[in-house]
Amino acid sequence: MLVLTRRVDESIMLGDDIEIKVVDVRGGRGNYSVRIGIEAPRHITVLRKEVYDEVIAENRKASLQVDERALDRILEAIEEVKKGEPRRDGP
Amino acid sequence: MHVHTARFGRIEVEEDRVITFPRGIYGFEHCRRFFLHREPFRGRPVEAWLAWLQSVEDGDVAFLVMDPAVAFPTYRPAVPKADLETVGLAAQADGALLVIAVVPPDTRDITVNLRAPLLVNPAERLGVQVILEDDAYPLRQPLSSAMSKGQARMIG
Repeated sequence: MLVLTRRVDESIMLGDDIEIKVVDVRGGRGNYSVRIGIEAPRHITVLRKEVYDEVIAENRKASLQVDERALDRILEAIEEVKKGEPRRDGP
Repeated sequence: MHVHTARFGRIEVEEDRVITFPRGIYGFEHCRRFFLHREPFRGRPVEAWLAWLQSVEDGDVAFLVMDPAVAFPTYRPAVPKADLETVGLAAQADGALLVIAVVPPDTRDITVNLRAPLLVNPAERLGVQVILEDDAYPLRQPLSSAMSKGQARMIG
């Protein structure tokens, strides 16, 4: 990984049209947070990495359902939604 | 074309039923071509709002997807313009939204991913998984939280 040192209000360019700027640094005593400004064309998706990782994890979980009873269970759950029944608690 | 699938065995799919996801699906970037599969279930046809999104390239990869309108009739995510462009849509209303379900053994634990829906352009048969920039819709919305009945339909 390329590591650069930047001061507040200094930027990095990724290619010609993506600018990443250090806006502010807060905190102290080993607990800092950095505010980052991003200027990028609209077609560039900007996401916190946690969200991206969570979507991948959710997709993996969804794809691991190999048993046909998944269909049964979702149909059953929707039947309950349609009936407008309150959620049952416990067996 | 024949697709060998882990769940449904060998399936014959017409080329015009394939939906291409030019950017893949997050975590499954090796899969670009999918189709919606409705296996008759216990002798009866599966309802139109529910289907498997089966990968053409990888027979092991399939997602249970549903029309969100059946459970969440007020769901109106704002899809970023870049994603509309990916599937060649001028207006979001011309596309079809699908959400991916995660179905654990207990039906009460079923969740749908409202944060990262799939947007499909049925005319061009192009799809994209959208990650919504704002966090109004959760990644794990319990299906049991759905309150009312919606009118659902889905592309074929």
